[in-house]
Amino acid sequence: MATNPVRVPETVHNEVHTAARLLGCNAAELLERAWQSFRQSPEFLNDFEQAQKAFSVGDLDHVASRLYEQSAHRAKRRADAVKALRQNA
Amino acid sequence: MQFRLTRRALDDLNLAVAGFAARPATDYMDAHDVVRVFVERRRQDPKAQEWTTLPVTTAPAYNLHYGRYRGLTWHDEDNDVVWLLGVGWHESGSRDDAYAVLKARDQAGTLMPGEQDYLDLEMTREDALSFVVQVSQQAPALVASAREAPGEEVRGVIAGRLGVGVLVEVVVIPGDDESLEEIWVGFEMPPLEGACDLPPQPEWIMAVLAAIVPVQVSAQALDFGGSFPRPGGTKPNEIVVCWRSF
Repeated sequence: MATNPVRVPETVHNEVHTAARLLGCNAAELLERAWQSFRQSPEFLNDFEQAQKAFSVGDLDHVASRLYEQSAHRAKRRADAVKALRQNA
Repeated sequence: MQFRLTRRALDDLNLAVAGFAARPATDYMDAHDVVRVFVERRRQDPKAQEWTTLPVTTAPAYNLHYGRYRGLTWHDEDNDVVWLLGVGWHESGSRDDAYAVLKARDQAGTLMPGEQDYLDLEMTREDALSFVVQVSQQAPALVASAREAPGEEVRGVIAGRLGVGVLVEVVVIPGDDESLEEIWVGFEMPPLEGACDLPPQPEWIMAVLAAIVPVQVSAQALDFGGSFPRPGGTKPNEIVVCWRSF
């Protein structure tokens, strides 16, 4: 599948390649598997179904709120990752 | 790559958090010389020759000098952001020296970007609603236009940012009243420049698809990655999705 070209941090790039080697596939196959797995995850399927229903009845606030919730979760996850860089705290 | 000031760094420079926190530093380089210097230098290299070893955080914090101003920056590679973490006045040997103050903040856990700084990278609730409203009107309209011209690609732009091609194939089953509709959608990548804030991928693609895929078609029935049925097939970097319904 064609994807958006993004700059992948070197650490992530190395981790993906290492994981791919361990699993006996190349990095592109591993990412395709990850993307497929994401699309088949119960959370994604539920989110998508809820959004379809909300659009079909014009409940746009529901879709917007869900997008915003995801933003808030992402912000928390990122901040937690920064906190994890603290040693001897 | 984005260049951002933490809320604490904005305070250090007496820049209004309400006015600047949600914006990339490239938008307000003329607001303060330190902001301009931060962007100009880190654009050339997101890291620097000199760094400060922080007392608690294991990330490298790079020094930024401008006159007697001293600042620390951090290249947040996972999120593709260079942060200006804080700025102070250089007073060698003093407890009020910028680096002493910034190190003390690291010990207190207030130097590195926090949850609110990361939330500032995201869409506001109002932006999210504005995006969803545009998608709810423009995406179905594009599909409706494509249905009026089966077999032809209809192109449009959603929310001023998303270049989208839609093609509807209708297969009529002879001797039967039923017909099969196959809908192809190609998302041009990357999104176009524009005023509307977008949620990150894949959320915006999922929102657009949710607005146009009928509720009886589940997400599992979406085929990603086929060859768009136009002369030349799928374009470079295009994301193609197809589904069928009776």
